[in-house]
Amino acid sequence: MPYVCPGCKKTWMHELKKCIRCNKELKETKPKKLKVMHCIKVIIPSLKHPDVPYYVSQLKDEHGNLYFKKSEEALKPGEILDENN
Amino acid sequence: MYISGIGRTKFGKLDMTLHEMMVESVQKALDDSKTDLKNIDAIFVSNNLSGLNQGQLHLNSLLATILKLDIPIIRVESTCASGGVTFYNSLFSLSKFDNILVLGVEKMSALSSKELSTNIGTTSDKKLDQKQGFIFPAGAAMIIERYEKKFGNVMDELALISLKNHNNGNLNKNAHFFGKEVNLEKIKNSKKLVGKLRLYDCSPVSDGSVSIVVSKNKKDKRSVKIKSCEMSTGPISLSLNPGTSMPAVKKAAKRALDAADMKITDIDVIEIHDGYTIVELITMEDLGLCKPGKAPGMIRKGKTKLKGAIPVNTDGGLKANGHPIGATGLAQIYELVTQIRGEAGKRQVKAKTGLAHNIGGMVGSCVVTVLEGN
Ligand SMILES: [Zn+2]
Repeated sequence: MPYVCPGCKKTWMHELKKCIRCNKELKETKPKKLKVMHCIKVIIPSLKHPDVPYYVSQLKDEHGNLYFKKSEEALKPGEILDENN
Repeated sequence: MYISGIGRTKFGKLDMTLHEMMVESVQKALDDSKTDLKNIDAIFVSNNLSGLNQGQLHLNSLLATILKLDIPIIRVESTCASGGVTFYNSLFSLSKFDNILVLGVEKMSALSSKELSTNIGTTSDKKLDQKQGFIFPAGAAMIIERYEKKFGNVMDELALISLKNHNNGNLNKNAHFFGKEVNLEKIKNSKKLVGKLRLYDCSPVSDGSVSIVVSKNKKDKRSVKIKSCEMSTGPISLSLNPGTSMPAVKKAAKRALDAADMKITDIDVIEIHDGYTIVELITMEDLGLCKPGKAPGMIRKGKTKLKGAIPVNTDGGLKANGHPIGATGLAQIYELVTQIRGEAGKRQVKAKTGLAHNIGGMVGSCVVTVLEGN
């Protein structure tokens, strides 16, 4: 998902067409490996996520980009998620 | 720039509309300033959720209608930092005006917890956070986990922060938790919401309003000087800040202390935005009250209690005073003014200077304000 500027190498997690600094077109990258940093159990329901419990994990890819990921099962901190599988 | 008047409602589950709360705090601030609405040149309104919670936006025009005014009225939104950001914005207008009024208001209690949780969630990133089920309590739980991994267990100290703020709130008749006995056992045994985060580590759902009259010139000896008010912004998603420190807080604090030509050790009383107890703990470190990892020791020694070296959240903080989002940043200013004037009654500390730390998100916006008395 991260969008990288081929000029200044800055990364965005939001889909943007061009780099605000270099005006170069951003390229979408696909993370290959995601490491689980934390996994938190959520038991507070909201309208968009009414079914609890669920889990929110902080993930880090091989380039250091950071993500949250929702899952029904707990992920183990330290575990590597292979996005190719 | 001087604060010449302060007014507030009680915080809590109030049987009052947005309109009624605004009128009450405005009237009290005008009375406190010994002035009249006709002397106010402009009003700045802070609110976060009225569009979602009450289906009512355009609060500036609503206020003009209620108060029968045609002066400039401006509404500002910056989630939990709405009050601080509105205050920050309002000060620029004193190059044009002599007296302005800054008002914060929020009505939160009339909704179901599911609705409220959803509405509050809109202040996080839609794609990175909301879609992935991230909610703010999960963010606080993640910070607790990281902090413990780095510096060791901290849940006992977080309970002591909660207890301190509840004890202070019990000396503040306007506080959400005033008159409610909360002890360590109750805090430690409270329901776990997310990860290790307990119910009593979180601020409550409150209604309330606060108004502040700000004047270009000093009015009388009760006027409190605004030494500085500075702001910093940061990423909207906590996923982009995986540390145990908030860069936006450090920057805003440095800017505010530099602008005031002061050090943190020159400050006598502090209001920290303790939406969660872990935030009070890490903010003590971000403000420079101690080195990283040393805040738990300060808490154990009682250094931030009323009689401690640097009292924090003398009004009970968000934890016990309450957290009506749009009014919170101004409630902090209200408390500092009360302390600096020496009008805080049983919770009075010795204070000539005060600092308020108001944040939105974790941390997407931060305002730090420094006040000084005569
Ligand atoms: Zn670029």
